[in-house]
Amino acid sequence: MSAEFTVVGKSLKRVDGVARATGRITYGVDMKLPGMLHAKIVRSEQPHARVVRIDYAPALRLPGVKAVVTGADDPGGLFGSRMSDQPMMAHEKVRYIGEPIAAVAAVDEETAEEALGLISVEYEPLPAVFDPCEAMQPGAPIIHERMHEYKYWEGWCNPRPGTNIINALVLRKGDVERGFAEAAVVVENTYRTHAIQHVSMEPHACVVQAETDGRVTVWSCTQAPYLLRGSLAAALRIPASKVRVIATAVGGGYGGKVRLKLEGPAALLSMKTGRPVKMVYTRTEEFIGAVTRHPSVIRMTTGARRDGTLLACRAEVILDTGAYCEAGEVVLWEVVQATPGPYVVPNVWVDGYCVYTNRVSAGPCRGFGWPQVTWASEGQMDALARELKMDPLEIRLKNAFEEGSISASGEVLHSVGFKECLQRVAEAVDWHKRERRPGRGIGLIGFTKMSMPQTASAAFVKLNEDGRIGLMTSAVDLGQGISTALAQIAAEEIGVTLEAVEVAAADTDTTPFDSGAISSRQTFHVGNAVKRAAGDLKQQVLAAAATMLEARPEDLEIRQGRVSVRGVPDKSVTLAQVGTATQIRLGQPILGRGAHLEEDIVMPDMATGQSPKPAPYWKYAAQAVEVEVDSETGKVVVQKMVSAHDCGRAINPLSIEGQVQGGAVMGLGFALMEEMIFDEGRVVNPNLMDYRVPTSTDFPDVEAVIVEAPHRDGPFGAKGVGETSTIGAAAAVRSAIADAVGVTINELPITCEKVLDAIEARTKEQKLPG
Amino acid sequence: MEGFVYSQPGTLREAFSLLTNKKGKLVAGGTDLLGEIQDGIIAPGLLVSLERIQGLKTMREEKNGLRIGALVTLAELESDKIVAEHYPLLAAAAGEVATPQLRAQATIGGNLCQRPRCWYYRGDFNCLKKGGAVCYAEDGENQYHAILGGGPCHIVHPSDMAVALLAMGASARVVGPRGEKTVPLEKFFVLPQVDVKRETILAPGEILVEIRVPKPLPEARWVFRKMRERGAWDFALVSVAAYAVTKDKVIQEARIVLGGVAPIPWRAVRAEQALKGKTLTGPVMRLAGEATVTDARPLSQNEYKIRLARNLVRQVLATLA
Repeated sequence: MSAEFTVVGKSLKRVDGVARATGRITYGVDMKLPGMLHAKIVRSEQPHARVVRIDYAPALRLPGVKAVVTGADDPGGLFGSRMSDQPMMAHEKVRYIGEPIAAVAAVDEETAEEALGLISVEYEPLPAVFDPCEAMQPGAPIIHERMHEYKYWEGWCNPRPGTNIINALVLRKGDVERGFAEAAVVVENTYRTHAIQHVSMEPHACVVQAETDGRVTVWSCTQAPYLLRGSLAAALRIPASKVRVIATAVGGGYGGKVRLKLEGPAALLSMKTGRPVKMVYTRTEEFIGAVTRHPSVIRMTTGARRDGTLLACRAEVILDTGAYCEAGEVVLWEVVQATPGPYVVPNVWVDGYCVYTNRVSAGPCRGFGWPQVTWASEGQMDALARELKMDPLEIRLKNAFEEGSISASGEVLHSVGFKECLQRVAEAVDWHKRERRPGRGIGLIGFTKMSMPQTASAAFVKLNEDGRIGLMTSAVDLGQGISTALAQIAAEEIGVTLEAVEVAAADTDTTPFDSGAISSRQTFHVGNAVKRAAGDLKQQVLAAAATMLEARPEDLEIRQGRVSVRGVPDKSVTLAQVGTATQIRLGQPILGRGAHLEEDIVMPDMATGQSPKPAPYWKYAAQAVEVEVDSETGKVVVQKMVSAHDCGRAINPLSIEGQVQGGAVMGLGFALMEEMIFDEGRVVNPNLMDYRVPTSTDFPDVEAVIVEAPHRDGPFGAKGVGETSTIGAAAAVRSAIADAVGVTINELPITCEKVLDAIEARTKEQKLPG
Repeated sequence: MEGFVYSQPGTLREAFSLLTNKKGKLVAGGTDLLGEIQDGIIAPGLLVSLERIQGLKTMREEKNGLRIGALVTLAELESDKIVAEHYPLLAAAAGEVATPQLRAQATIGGNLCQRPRCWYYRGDFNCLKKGGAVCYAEDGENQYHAILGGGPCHIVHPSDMAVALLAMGASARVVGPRGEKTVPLEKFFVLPQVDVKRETILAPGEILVEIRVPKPLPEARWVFRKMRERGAWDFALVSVAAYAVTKDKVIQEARIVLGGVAPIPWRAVRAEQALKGKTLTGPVMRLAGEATVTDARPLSQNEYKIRLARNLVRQVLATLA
């Protein structure tokens, strides 16, 4: 492949690598402005209550305190992703412990902190509900009484006012009852997943300056500058272009920094004081006041023929979105499309529910619902393999999607490297010749994830007077390496080296629209926009050079920053000469423009979920994990992990390997140790001591395998990979444990406590007479 | 976080005065104390550092055993040659505590005097230990709480070092305004039924200055195991230190101590009795494991700890056999 390209497909060093490694880039937490105030948030102590009275007069009397804002200062606009249900500050009532009630700005952080203690809130507690299944029952306390007034996007949401169900979606295909009737074996199980936090190294941070002309400037470590701009403008009830979002470097996001958070209260405080206001979450606030992964309960019934051919799948998917949607409505929308996994199933019946509870909101979290449904669907594949005494790899390969397969929604699938992922992983762990030893086991699973539709990207590419290329997009580099990938795409398309491209940081006043670093979409969407913009620039360069060289544009080519007549290398001009001429002498600056929007998306029919093209593209992957289990202590030690990903085309293999390894470890943390523990809606372990993030001692190196099934719509065939890397680890660990000690655990995380309990339960079962 | 005055007295006498007259709080490495202040659990106006008091940072071996100053760090214990050679149980336990960074700062005295990790104690709950009326763990999230010796408060003692030191038969030298005493480490820790607000016998103004570890008999053998969810920076789900003196394979004396199961480092006396005079055969080890948890009373979510403690004791004994 590398022969076709000169820049794309190469493991080039990151354009921001040295700056990051030497600490010379400015993160959100590093931002400083002259005269800046520091702000803190007063958070709800009640899971569900009316706010009767807020007394902040004593706080205002504290020297150094400049302002306090409450819900009364909030213009009252609601914001959200596809469902707008959330205020910046609590109005009248609070819906979770940790919800912002008031915010205070002071001359320094310590004074702001002290002022928090001087603000008292009187509550009238309301009955609360913490379990999504209970919250769905008739008679459960209603968390959003005004659901009927909420605005949402058609085609995404089906709210049920008067209940806690904010979205109810279906997928219907064929006749599941007939499918089960024909099945030789039917397995039914309930799967549960838990809340985790993203634990970005850098917490949420921003500085907001309300300008005198009514504009608001925000410096934020956001993943999605334009989404932040839209949400903040909606909440403040001002036009979007009155908000300027300048993206700082981001110290990790993983989905946690997609939505409007602390920028809201900071904006209100800046508007009140006229001074820049800085806010940084504490680690505790990251746990109680940001977002989590959606806890889920999934009931799934799957039937197959004796030979393993899948016949039917029925599933009920319940996502606990906590107090607000925070894109939970979209998480549900996505996973309903392929709940049974990347397999051909002729008869499918899925009922999906996104449900409010009185807990901190769940929101986007790397994998976006797919780790949850994969936990269920791969559990079913294992269960069927056991019942049918089939090899777990064989049953997957037998049913696996391939190019041209028809999905449950009726889509004819394209760019499907799934079988190759399964095979490559199997080879890497020597699946067919694996050694059988008690206490040791291998799990091998597969999965898919879509990239969400109805997102857009645009790019500007300019030629500077020195011949270098300026790349302007609103893509956000979270450390995943997108700046480098985009620069590689631009360089390849134009015909310059990577070093000739400068990548600008996102600024909504100057860089064009983008839906942000979400849904593993930037390489595909922004990459396409950049490729088109670079192509546009190239045509303009060739036209200008043609005039200078007295040649025809179609006879020219650009190589290594020089435009020459094809076959006559002496007859040439440099890009610097073209840049200088067009920009300074001719007054015709060259700016290439490009955009990407999926034009062939068909939103699924709300009654059936059917759609010939619900998503821009699907990613496929397989993962294998080898574990050693001590059946006396329940200790699970991961010995090996292999992770194979169909990324369409690898723009920068090194970056992809890094993504795959990082994601795998995040997935293993989700599988084995990370868990937010709640007591009546209060997080009892909101710190990095009691909430266990993996350390370097915990997991082995992860072997990354790159599979390429180029996508016809992707830039050079590329698809995303950021989220898939984290999805399957839990399911693979479960399979490996079952292989090692013969117990299956369907409730995450798999702590040693659960392993011990499962072994005990099995021992008791075996002792029962008969 | 409240502000505080930081003082560094040069003598114990000065320290006593600051502690008793000004209600100062003692600080050694500070790895636990500063966390408590940061989390708003305590708000001492005065911190009394032991840093400048002579003799607290030294460790020396004498004829009868090892004397460890209270301010000796866990990193020093972990890497000291004499400890490694003659008291490897201590080095092993020290190496299992927290992380290398924390071990470089944390002291042996502080490790023994650290406060519990119970999330109700550490969190926004006015629990028994903080003067409240309820132990929230009783009806709450108690998966990591006590199975032995609990009630009315159900914390587990967090120290790995205490478990190892108890197995070695160590004692603690405590100095106060009215003199000094040396107590067996076993008597140093206090169950919540005796005093729910503290975990040691230290009265206000008293300072733990030294740990004394008797020299092990030449025929003694030992082992330390710590079971935890994460490979580093994690407290024990259950830890076990075993010390046994055998003669012709017959156990003359055994000390089995468990961490993570009780509000104090827990000496499994029943297990020790089951071992005395026996050789370490499979059935004997199993019996000792069972005896360890005979008195265990689990809470709603921690029954697994009974199996874990039982199995871990058996595994540990198997490595001694």
